Amino acid sequence: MRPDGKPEGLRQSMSWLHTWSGLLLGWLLYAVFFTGTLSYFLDEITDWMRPELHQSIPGPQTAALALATMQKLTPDATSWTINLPGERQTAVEANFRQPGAAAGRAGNQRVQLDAGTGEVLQPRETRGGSFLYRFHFELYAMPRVWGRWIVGIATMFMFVAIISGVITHKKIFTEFFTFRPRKGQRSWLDAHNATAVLALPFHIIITFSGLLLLMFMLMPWGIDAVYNGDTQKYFAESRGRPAAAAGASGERGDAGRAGRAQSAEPAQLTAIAPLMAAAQARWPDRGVGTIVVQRPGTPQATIELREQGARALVRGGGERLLFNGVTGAPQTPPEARATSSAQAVSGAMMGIHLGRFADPALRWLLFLSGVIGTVMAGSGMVLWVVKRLPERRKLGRTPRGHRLVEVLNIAAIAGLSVATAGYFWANRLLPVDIAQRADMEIRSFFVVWGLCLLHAMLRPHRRAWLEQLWLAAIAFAALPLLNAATGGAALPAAMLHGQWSVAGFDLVALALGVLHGFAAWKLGASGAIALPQRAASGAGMRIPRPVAQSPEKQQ
Amino acid sequence: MGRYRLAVASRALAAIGGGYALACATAAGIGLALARAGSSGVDAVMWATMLAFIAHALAALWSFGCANAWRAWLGIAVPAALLGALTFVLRGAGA
Amino acid sequence: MSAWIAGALALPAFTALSLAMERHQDQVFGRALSVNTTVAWRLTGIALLGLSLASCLAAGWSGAVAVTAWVGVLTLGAMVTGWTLAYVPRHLLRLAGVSLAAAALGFVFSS
Repeated sequence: MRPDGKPEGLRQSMSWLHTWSGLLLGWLLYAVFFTGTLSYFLDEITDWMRPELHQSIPGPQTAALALATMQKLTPDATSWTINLPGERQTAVEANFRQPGAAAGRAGNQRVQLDAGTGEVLQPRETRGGSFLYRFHFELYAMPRVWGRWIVGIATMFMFVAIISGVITHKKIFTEFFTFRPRKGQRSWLDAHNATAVLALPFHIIITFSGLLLLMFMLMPWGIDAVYNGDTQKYFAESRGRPAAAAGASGERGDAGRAGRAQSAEPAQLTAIAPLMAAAQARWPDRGVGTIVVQRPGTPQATIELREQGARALVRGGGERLLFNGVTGAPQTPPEARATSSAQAVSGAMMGIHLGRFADPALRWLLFLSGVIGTVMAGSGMVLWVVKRLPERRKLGRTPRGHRLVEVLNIAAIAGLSVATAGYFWANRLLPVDIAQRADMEIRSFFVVWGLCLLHAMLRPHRRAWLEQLWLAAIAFAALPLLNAATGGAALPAAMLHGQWSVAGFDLVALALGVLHGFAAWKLGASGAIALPQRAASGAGMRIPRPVAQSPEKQQ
Repeated sequence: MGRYRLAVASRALAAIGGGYALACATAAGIGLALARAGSSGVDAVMWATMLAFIAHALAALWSFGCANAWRAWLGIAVPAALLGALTFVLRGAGA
Repeated sequence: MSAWIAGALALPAFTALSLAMERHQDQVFGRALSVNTTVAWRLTGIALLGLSLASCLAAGWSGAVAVTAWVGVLTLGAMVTGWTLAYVPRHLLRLAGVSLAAAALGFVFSS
């Protein structure tokens, strides 16, 4: 849109739209991208944040030991769902439901078991990676619906920004591999274009599926019209149970049903070792991920073994083996529900977004794409500032709007990194037994973030960037040391024992430290950009030299 | 500058508010149309909702891409009204 | 294994595609190439992309996951190609060659 109202071409109008749809909510979108990317490793983050679990080293007896503990702990449970350790967690997570428990997640109880000994572990109270995950789509400190609406609206802005960006980027093919470092604004534009185009399919799918994941709240009118408002009927049909069946299953793979008391003589559960061996032979690459025992100790007991991860993207896509719980004889598992094309398409997109069942290779690729997307968002906002430096120099002062964007950029980008590192530091430094520990950790995150905003307002622009980037670099790089010093599994030991959740976190923390340090170093080496922050006072004012800023700031 | 700001505000309202109305009408109208045409309820809802989100994005692109604010509103309101009418008709017919 | 092979093929694929563009021919060879050579590079790139996709499909994933993995692998390959062209363009062919050899070795040892 032009202030003088003259007509303009499609690329120009889309460029305007892209700039504003990207910038207005860009700081929020950056945080959503950043926390979302980290959420691909939410299990690993939660593991790292509970050092009491780090003593758990998986071994060949893990399944048997876990079942023995469950037998002692809750012999009357209606179901046990035992998530075995793997690349994503180092301890055994055992869920169980007692008879008469509420349906869904409310009736589920959970303990953590040592994979090496079977004993119950007491990890410190923490929200772990779930805080970052929940923040990603619900924000914090507000009713959930508000948070989701805000993120949902931001997602639509993002969707519009992506499409308008593609329309306006007319050299999308010829500049596919083009990156020109050390050229100031040109480099920032190249970085923004490259990160956008290289992972464009990912960005489009992530954004659109983000809308789909919130569709029941954002756009319920389809159900309203077709089902006359009967949402329960819709949900039942979409799960393949046309008879209205309630009992929503829990989110994270727990299949317990509210138990009806089964009158039964107790029957010994069969040995698990041969079943595990059979499953292992069938799934040599991945192994067994989860053991679900229904009605243990009764003649109707069944044991289901689920493959680690899944071969498909949608829930329940992995292979399952079902056995009679008393005799160990194999049974045929229930038929997988056939999905329609609409569900397949939307399900695949949402599956990529959530990445719940991705194996490590795919998970790292998704993480990489998320990092690229985060850089895309950040570079766009920095580009907005850099692009307007010439007009600021001509003007001789910084308009308030530009200063606002500058400050918010620092706080939203560098400040978020510092705050995240702060969250992990708080996890280890806060005493284990203080009240509301989990909330205190989260509060630390926001306090640090707020201080970064204050810092960004008070310090000169470039200094603020440098200081926060260096702080983030050091804070991240020191995390492995902090880990070892505060009771966690040190990096060499964790790698030796195959505790990849903890080791992976430490390694990524180091990598993040290096990236932030590299960005800070580049910024420092690129020379001063003296920008007049206040109105020029006329003669005698030094005209600043235009010098390129750091070419590529990576997260 | 005043005209410019008015134009931006008008187009933004069309994109955001008008776009959302268009999306709702799309979800309901296309959903009902697919369901009456034989799709399963779940399919009809999923396709219609996906189209609804796309419609909203297209409305935003149209709103700022077309020649003036009047066209922006027209291009969003007319399809919304048509789909709204379709919804009304089909709802009565099938219920 | 197939995922790694697909990844190792992405870099040579994008190298070939980039060498079908005059701008990058200048960077790597110091001059523009003939029309025939340009077309040859483009076709090679497309073929390698296809092989990369086939490798993902053969990895035992479902269709959707295989395509997702392929796109992810492409992102990585394109990124490395772009970086190499930006900072050390003269090494691009060598890098691509090593990657291609690794893919070939991987294929030989996996079958």
